[in-house]
This record gives sequence, structure tokens and C-alpha cells, in this order.
Amino acid sequence: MGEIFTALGHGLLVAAQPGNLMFAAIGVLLGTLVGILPGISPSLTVALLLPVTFKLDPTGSIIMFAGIYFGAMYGSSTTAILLNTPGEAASIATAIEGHAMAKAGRGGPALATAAIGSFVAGTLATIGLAALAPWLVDLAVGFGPWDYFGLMVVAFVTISATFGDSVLRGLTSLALGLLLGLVGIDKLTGQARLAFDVPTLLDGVSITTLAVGLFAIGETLFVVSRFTGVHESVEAVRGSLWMSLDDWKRSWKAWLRGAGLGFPIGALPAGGAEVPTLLSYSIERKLAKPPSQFGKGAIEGVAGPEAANNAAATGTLMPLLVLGLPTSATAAMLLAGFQQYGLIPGPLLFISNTDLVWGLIASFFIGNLMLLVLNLPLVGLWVKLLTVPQPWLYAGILVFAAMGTLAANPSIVELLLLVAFGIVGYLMRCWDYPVAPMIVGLILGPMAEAQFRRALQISLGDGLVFFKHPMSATLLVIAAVAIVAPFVFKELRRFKAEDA
Amino acid sequence: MTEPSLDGGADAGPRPTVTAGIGVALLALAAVVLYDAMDLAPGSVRGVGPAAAMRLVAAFIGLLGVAHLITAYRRRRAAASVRATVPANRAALAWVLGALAGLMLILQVGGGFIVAAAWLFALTARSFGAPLGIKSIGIGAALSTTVYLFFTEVLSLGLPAGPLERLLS
Repeated sequence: MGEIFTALGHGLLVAAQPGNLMFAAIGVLLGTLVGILPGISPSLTVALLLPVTFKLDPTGSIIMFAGIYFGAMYGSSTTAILLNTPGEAASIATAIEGHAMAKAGRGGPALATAAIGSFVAGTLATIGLAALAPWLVDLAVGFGPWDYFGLMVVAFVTISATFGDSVLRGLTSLALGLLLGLVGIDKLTGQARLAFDVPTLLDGVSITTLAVGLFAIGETLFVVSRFTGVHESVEAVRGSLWMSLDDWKRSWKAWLRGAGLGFPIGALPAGGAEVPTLLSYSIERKLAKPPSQFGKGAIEGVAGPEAANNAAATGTLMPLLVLGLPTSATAAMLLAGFQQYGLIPGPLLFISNTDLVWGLIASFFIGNLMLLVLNLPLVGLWVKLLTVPQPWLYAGILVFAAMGTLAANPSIVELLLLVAFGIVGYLMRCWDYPVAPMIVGLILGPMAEAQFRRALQISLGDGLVFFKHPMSATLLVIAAVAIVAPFVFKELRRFKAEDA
Repeated sequence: MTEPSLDGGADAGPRPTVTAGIGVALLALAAVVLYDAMDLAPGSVRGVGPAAAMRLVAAFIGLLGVAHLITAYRRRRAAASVRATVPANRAALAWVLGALAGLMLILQVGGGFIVAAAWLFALTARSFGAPLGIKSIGIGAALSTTVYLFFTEVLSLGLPAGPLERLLS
């Protein structure tokens, strides 16, 4: 236990350096901004910033990327409450009760319980992360390539099949990502795969181009294709910003329950923050006395899901940092952020880059504190952002998309790829295919292949090596179960659908 | 929220004809991957070469293609009762695609980032109903110039330069 405090104390010193504080502040500000604005996701923001931050200090940049992730979680709750349009999938539950509260003139307390709950849950989850990470690192040091391969297969399945609407469409998206991951020069033999003699393709498909194409171009095309000229109305924040004593009494237990749900579910490779927020909403609704307030603006229905969502965001960073395993689109972009500096998240990173890892973990505390301070007093300013006219917003998004792609690789082929991915993203949105599995497939596919080949090299080509080690065998069985689970859990989802 | 099923839920997902089309496209894609994998030299004596993963992914994609076709076949009768879909605003889509095509064209002929991005901005804004005029071109030009100067002066990163950019530096 003492070791952790030393490491964390050291990390706080790193995170508190003026430069890193500035990066954290920029990150949470940008994150709040993109969380509030429709059409820009945190993963898109990180993708656009990758080429821009290429020459900057790795620690600072990665602190900033994490700040964007947390900031977006705070920001999207503001949009959900005041506009009834959840900026992220994880804010759907917040939108239900939060918007009802705002309409009833209780927008202030709704925003306050969301912000304070996010702070409480984020802090608790960071403590959990700091306490469990070293223990998991010790465990992960002993993992062989077969174990990593098993873990990655589990991640593939849970991300694409288990928690989506359709197993078939999720797996198809994943397969397309894996396919894109194959493009380029094979690192072991130097042979070109699927490059078709196009020089740009020899370097492989850039994660920035794919993410920007799917999220920025695809989203813009989708929004414009549904454009009718009607604008949404923003609910003004009326009445007191402060929570009454009764609000506090009703909120604090929901915060703790939300954090308790969010962190473990986020930390398991279980598909990000959406599941725990909906679970938390269901639980709060069941526990509420009297339950009749739910649907009409119950503060518990904002406090619980918001806490769960922030705790899950922190939880996702556990498999990312300790195992190098991204379990959401944003985590995949963070991994790309590490990779652009030649850093490979995993147990070794805790030994070779102690400053960076613990500085990053400590920066979560600072970032959450900054967000709490920023969000409540500045809420009026954030609300003004919601009134940015759509033409300027989406035109700006496309300019930044072009900028990010050109900065990474100033070639027309890269732009053609960007537009092609944009059209693919648009079609996927139209036909209900999830895009996150594709991003994760592109980044995790080549890593899984490397572990697969290493395992077979060590075993002298024995394909059964994955079943001879208890851990990898168990993981592959879990993956098989997880692919069947959606069919078994039909009942659970039906019950959840009733609640939502 | 729909319950998950291999058929893609009751009312979510594309129409059967589209599903069948996607299935055919996936099968074609799998064939391309297999064809490309044939040219690769086999791997070292130990373990597997670079073609193994390609065959694995091709098999996976082929399997998904077949699953799409089966789904489309099973749901062929549901075609009549498709949910009412919002007709896409084709004119607006065309404006955005024109904006992107123009961006590439201007960069290709050496027009530079500022002009290309201003074009992109103005036409995208037009697609969302903002009239194509001095206001949208002005905002676009101001934004792209700011971005260009920030990249070259603050970050010392390059963006495609044209006559206008050379005038600035």
C-alpha cells in the first residue's frame, strides 16, 4: 500500500508541473467544449489533435487527451439536461430525468448534481485505478503472447457483439477494421499487403484518417442528409444553481452506487460507459421513494448515471494502461496517442515510464477538480455555445477534419481515403452499423496478429498453444460465451428497454 | 432499443435488398483479400507468415457475407412492412460532397490550404442553409488563415501552400 502512495505522490509532483497543469486545463476545456457541441466526439477531437501534438511533450499531450475524455463526459451532461440531446451515448439516461428537471425550472440543481457526482465518482474511480493498477501490473508481467491474444479476442467480441444492437452488424464493423489493419507493409517480413502499389497505403491506414472520416465526415453527411431547417430549443437555466439539502440527501447515495457500478464495468472489457449508466438508471428508479417522480425529473436519475458514466470512463483506462487494451473508441484513440510517441501501454510502461503513468493517473484528480470548478460557474457561457448556428458548426468541423488529415500526411490520396471513410461512415449510420468496433479493429488487429504469430513462433507452429495455457484457454472460452450471451440476455435487455 | 439477434433486431438495420447487397460486397471483399494473399511468400519455418492473418480475416468477412445473405433471405417478406424512413436531403448531401471534391481539386492544382478550406467552409455552410455569400466565405477565409498561421508559426508544422500562403510567409 505504501508503494502506491509514494508512486501517486510522485505522480502528483509530475502532474502539478506548470506545463502539465496547462495541458490538463486545455484538455478539460476542449473536452467540455466538444462534449457540449453536437457532432464532435472526444475520439474525433483526439484524432484531430494527434498530428498537431506530434512534436509536443508526450506526458503533457497524453494528460491533455485524458482531460478531453473526462471533459466530454461533463460537457455532454450539460447538453443532455438543457437540450435533451445526449452528446454521447453514455448521457442518454441523464437526458431523461435531467431534461425533465430543466423544464420544471430545476436545471441548476440538475447540472450541479451531475457535476458534483461526476467529481465524486471520478475521484473514487481514480483511487480505485491507482490501488488496483500495480496489482494488475504484477499479474500482467507473467502474461505470454497467447494470453494477450486471448484478451484481445475477448475485447473484440465484447466491443462488437455483446453490447450492441446486432451481433451481425457489430462483427461486420469489426471485420472491416481488422481488414484495414492488414493494409501496408508486414512488420516481420517486409512484404506489402493490400497496398495495390499505392505508396500511401504502404504505411498502412492511419487511425486519424479513419476516425476523422467516420466521425467528422460521416456524421456531417448524416446530419445534413436529415437537415430540414428546424432548430432545437435550448432550455434556459432558471432558478437557483445550488442544490437544496434535500437534493444532497437524495444525490449522495446515488453517486456512490453509480461509481460502484461504473468503475468495475468500465474496467472490464465490457464496452465502455453506456451499460453502467443505463443500469444505474434502472437501479435508482427501483430504489426511489416514491418512484412516481421518475420520468418527471427525479434528481437520483441524474446523479446515479452521471456518476456511473464518469467512473466508467476512468475504469476504461485501467485495461488501456495496464494491458494496452482499448475497450472503447476513445480509449483506442488514446492508445494511438501513446503509439505516436513510440510508447506501448502495458505492464512494462509502469516500469519504464513511471513518471508518465503516475503523472497521468494523478492528473485525473486534478482534471476532475478543474472540471468541477469550471463547469458550475461557467455554465452560462457553455449554454451560449449551444446556440452556435449549425452551418458554421459543421463547416468548421469539416475544415478541422481537412486540417488534421493534411497535417498528418499532405497527400491527395489521404484526402480521398478520408472522404471514402466518410461515405462509409455515413452509410453505416444510415444502416445502423456501429463504428466503434471498426476503430478498435484497426488499432487492435495488428497487435493481435503480432501476438498470434509470436505465440506460434514460440510453440514451433503448434496451433493448440492457445488451449494449452489455462489463462488463454479460459479467455477464448469467455469470448465464445460472450458472443452467445446477447441471445441469452434478451430478457435482460427487454427489461432495460422498458425502463429507458 | 431493439433486442439483439443475428437477424439484426426486428425493426433496425437496412432493408433486405440492402442487406443482400452488403452480403455480396463482403464476399467480393473476401475474394480480393484472398487474391492479394496469394502473392505473398510463405513465412519462416517457425510459425505463420503474413498471409495467415489475411486468410483468417478473409474467411471471417466471407462468413459475415453469407450471414448477410441468409438474413436478407429470411426477412424478404418483411420488405413490405419496412418502417417509414426519412427521405434523405439529397441536395444538401450533394453540396457537402461538392465541397469535399472541390477541396481536393483546389489542393491538387496548388491552390493552397487557405483557399481550399475557405471553399470547403462556404459550401458546407450552404448545405446547412446559410446563403453562399460574403459572410460565409469571409468566416471560412478567416478560420482557414488562422489555422494556417497557427500551424506554421506556432507548431512549425506544414500545410499545403499556394500563392496566398507564400504571400503570408
